[in-house]
Amino acid sequence: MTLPLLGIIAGPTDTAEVAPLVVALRSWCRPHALDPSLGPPAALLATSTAAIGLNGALAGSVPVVVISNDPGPIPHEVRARAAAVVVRDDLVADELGDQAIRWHRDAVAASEHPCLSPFVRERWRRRLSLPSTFIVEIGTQRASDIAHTNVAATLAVCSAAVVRGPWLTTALALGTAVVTDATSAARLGATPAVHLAVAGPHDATATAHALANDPARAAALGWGGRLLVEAHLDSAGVALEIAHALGIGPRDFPAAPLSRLDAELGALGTPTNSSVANRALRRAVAIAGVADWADLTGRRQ
Amino acid sequence: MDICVCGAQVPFMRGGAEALMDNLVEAAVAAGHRAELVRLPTVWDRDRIFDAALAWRMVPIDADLVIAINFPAYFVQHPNKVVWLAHQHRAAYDGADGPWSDFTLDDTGLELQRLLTEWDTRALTESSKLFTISGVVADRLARFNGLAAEPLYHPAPFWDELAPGPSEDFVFCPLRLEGNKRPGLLVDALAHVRSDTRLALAGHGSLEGELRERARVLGVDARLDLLGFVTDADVVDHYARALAVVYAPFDEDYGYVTLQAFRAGKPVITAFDSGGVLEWVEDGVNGFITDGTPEAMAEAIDRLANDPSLAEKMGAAGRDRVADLRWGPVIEQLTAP
Repeated sequence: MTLPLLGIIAGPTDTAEVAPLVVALRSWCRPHALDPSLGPPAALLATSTAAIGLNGALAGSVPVVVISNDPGPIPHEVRARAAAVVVRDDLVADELGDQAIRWHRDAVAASEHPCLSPFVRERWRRRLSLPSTFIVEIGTQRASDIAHTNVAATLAVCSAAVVRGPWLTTALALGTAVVTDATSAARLGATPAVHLAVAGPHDATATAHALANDPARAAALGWGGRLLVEAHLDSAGVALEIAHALGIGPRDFPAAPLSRLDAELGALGTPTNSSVANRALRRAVAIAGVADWADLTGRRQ
Repeated sequence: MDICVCGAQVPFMRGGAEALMDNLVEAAVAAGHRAELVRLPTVWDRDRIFDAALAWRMVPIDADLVIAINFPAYFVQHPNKVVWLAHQHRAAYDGADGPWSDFTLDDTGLELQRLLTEWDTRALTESSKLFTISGVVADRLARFNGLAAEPLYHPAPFWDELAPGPSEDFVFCPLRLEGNKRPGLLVDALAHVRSDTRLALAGHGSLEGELRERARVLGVDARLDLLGFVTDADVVDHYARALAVVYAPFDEDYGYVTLQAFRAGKPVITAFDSGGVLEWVEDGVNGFITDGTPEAMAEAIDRLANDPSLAEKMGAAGRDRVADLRWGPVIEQLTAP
């Protein structure tokens, strides 16, 4: 199976931020800088409103999605040409209506941050010779206590965490029992006592300790936080919407840890894109992980 | 209403979960529903543990309601799925790294525990209602998966046949002779019993030979009756004639033995870590909750052997404790809109 070619139109400075989206799109297409030797792309992705003017994309007919990081209004010619516009700003999104794909500024790739429940964390701590109760604080004065590259790993094994900075979404994606302040919770659209715990600066640590000593509550909050990220803060979800808008969509089912099922289908001689194979994969998708789907689609190419 | 009860099948094995499924179907039919039992073969080794879960995802079921009982049957997909959870795959949860689990604490084992937890949580949250067979199972679900569930208690098998009878000089327990049921603790306790009380164990298992040898070494083989397979009628008869029931499994999900003992008017001697048993046994009222040592178990046996009126009084209290258990309310809750 050959995935459709997605032509990337990028300006010189706007690629780093969109990298997670491009990576996620690889599950359903082959993103590549425009290159005539590869043949015509099935669709185009412009990484800024300025970039869409490059390479004659405005004049073409293949579907285009444009990413806008600007808070200002979207130029008329972009709105006229784009199948959808990916925007960070809520006001701009409201103005665009159905043409908008909202991309939260704090979105992460959820599939890269597997959810760990409290009892699995406890076993990892035992394996790593960490304290039985392990509270961490991220985004405060104590952030320097932890090496930057180890923050995600620390959040993955801790009992509970006080998080106020840019790591908040990552912590939630990992299923961490999180304590934060009301402003940070509101920024992510998180509901206190459902997705995380909210506390002031003076009682945040005590709240985290209480969570660490209450595995049932920690598990419930951790799972709630994970679901929040999957629903509203996952860059893969944005990528999926882009793929749909471009008509290169993922056969409408995004993910599954399906390698064994796939092997069984193959052993029975089931064609890759047959209705039987698609039905089997679709039935399993609700319990699946994006990483496994990417692995599967990669292997089935 | 057309109801499919969904459960795991381990070929050639039969235990409490199988009895639960059969009795649930029977009770649903008695309540006026059409009910069928749907089971798929399952294996428990970690390399294939996901296979049956995926198979359940594919099973097409036309019914008004599906009631899933255990792992991995709750992976079934249906617009009206109710889960009445007897147990998850405990080898990946509280049993991990234990003697009867192949879920180890190395990188692979931990990742499989993580993944199975995530799969379980997703599949269980699909259900329109989430019940468990006991508070112990509900508590595990909260601690491991962060999910709230309501315990829904039901009568044990042979409910209508069980009745008090005159006590004889033996304590009884029907159980699989496997490690998690701790039959060795009962044999060890027998060595500390000072009265002439005998111990009768009904059932088979991998520990049978070991128990015989242990009893011989301890010099109690003459007072130990390993009955092997016994008919249902014999089980009922032994309950009726026993002085008391000794039952001290490790963290039992529910424990039919406790309920059957109480129904037969017999006190239960158990251990502090026996799980669901402790939801029913009240220390000094309808049985004894010991510290789980052979000495303490033996002391409780002797206390009842030396005071039969106390055994009778505690047995009566146990019978009162389970007097309200009936299938009717269970079916009503499971089928309620």
